[in-house]
Amino acid sequence: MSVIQAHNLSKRYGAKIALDQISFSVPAGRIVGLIGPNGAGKTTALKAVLGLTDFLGELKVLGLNPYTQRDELMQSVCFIADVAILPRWIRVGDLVAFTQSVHPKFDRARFDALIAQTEVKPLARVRELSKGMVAQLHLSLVMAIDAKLLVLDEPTLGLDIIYRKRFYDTLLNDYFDQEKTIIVTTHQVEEIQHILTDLIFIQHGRIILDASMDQVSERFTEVLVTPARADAARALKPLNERLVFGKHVFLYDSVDRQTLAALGEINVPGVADLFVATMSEKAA
Amino acid sequence: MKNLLPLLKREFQEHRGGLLLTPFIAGAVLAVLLVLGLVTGASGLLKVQSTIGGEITRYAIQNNPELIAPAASKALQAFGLAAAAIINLTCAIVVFFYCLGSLYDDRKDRSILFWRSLPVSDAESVIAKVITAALVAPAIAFVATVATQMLMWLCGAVVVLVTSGSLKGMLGGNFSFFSGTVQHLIALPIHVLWVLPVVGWLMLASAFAKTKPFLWAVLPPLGIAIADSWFDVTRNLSMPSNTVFRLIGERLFDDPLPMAANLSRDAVGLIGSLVPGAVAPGIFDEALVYLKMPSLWLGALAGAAFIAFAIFLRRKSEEAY
Repeated sequence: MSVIQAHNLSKRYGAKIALDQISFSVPAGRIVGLIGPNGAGKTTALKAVLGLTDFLGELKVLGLNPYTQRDELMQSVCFIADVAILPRWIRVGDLVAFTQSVHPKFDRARFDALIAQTEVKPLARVRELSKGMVAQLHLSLVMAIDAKLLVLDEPTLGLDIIYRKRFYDTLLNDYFDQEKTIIVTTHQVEEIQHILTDLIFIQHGRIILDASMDQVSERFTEVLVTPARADAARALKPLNERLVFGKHVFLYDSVDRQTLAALGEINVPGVADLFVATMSEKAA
Repeated sequence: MKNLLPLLKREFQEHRGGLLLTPFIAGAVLAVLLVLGLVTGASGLLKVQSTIGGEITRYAIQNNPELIAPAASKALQAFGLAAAAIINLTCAIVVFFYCLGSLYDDRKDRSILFWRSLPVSDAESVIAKVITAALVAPAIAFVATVATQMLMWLCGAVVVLVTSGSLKGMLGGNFSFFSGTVQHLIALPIHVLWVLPVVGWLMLASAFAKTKPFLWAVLPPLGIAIADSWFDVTRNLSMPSNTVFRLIGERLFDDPLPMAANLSRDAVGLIGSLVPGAVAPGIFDEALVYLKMPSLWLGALAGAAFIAFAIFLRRKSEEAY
């Protein structure tokens, strides 16, 4: 069964169309990167999935309508929307006790084990913690909950690279398994591309790419071409062309690898380059 | 409603200063003031004074020391009542600002997103806040009041013992100093119903306002009341003039809890009833008067409607994300 099943999902705010009849499905056991420029509709899509906004079209999350069956859904779904949302006045110990008392799937022992690896002390108030420690605390809370779906919306915004790396390492090593599904949005795509299993690119409220990472590496090829062969390369209709140290880098979608290898050195493109290429192509 | 207890605990943790410390600090300050007054007064009684008044007092006391205890007891009752009024007024101010922030502050600092990421319904969260404002806060104020009154009584008893050598009359026939306490306790559940429209309205403003919940809470009712007063709207609807003002005033100042504003009205009755033996039959009368008021029940109904609307708005709120 799909964890998320969306069909013609739409949402408009006044005249602005935030989501334009998108359809996608996310099976269990995946880590999906939802990537798009600012204002593309990522957050709106996540809000709809989390039951924080109503919508048009069909959307089922774990078989439930997220907007009307939100209270039930939240038993099995966790989210971290931004590092700054933990209440600043609360003491860490009180926050944990509260979560434990309202969440049937919260595992206190697991939380204690996770938080012991950090500097966070139970008597500290959230406002006394550094940004990185707040993120660690939030992640520890969420990881101690045996949820089926975890939604991360820019979870590492404003953190330094050490915290960011540790954040995703912990997530991958101590949390993720075949039963769980993670959706993550971030602008630092290159940092998470190695943990993703699937990619969804979204722009102007529409999905422009929905593929597994395996499909991505099969479909897309990057070729390094000397200026002399650039015209031949352009004839093969690349998605995108850019100049790096005097060489042309072309990005192709579904073009035969052997043909491309004749033009120059071929590579599997990074998600960030792919993102820029597909976005600019659609914009053109 | 299984999450109600943790939610109430959370509200208490967040507002410990206002809910717990404020009424007890107010009570402590009042008790200290009383002690200062007692010390001045007692030293005046004990010292040989050259004034005529002092002489007369001293003479009266020396000849009738048994009059001191009843007199002190009555004075302490008045003090205790004033303490109840002031502590309840302090509590009302705390509750006012608590309500205004209750559904606004966590939207402003976006922590609502964390709370809403837990399996807790919006109705549960809002109802826990209503209970905190309407019941928990005045219940704590009640405990603070009783503690203050007991402290006052002890201080008074020491003075009486030192000046007259006896406590006879301080613990009157039926412990009359604390008779107001029972009345206060009976008033608590009625207070919940009475204050529901005010709490509901303030929380509705708190849930609705994008900024400045204070203005949203205060200006519309004030505006309507002023318009009514100027244009005689309610009189043209064959109701008494200034009905809106009257309704608001009644709601704020006729709270069944001993408040500063209705002290004058209650004080007469209460002080009279503090005479040993006279209290018991009257204790439920005040409660019955309230329970027979249609406005108590209509107000509670309006309060419930405001609260339901506030829950709806919180459910719909998405500007925080």
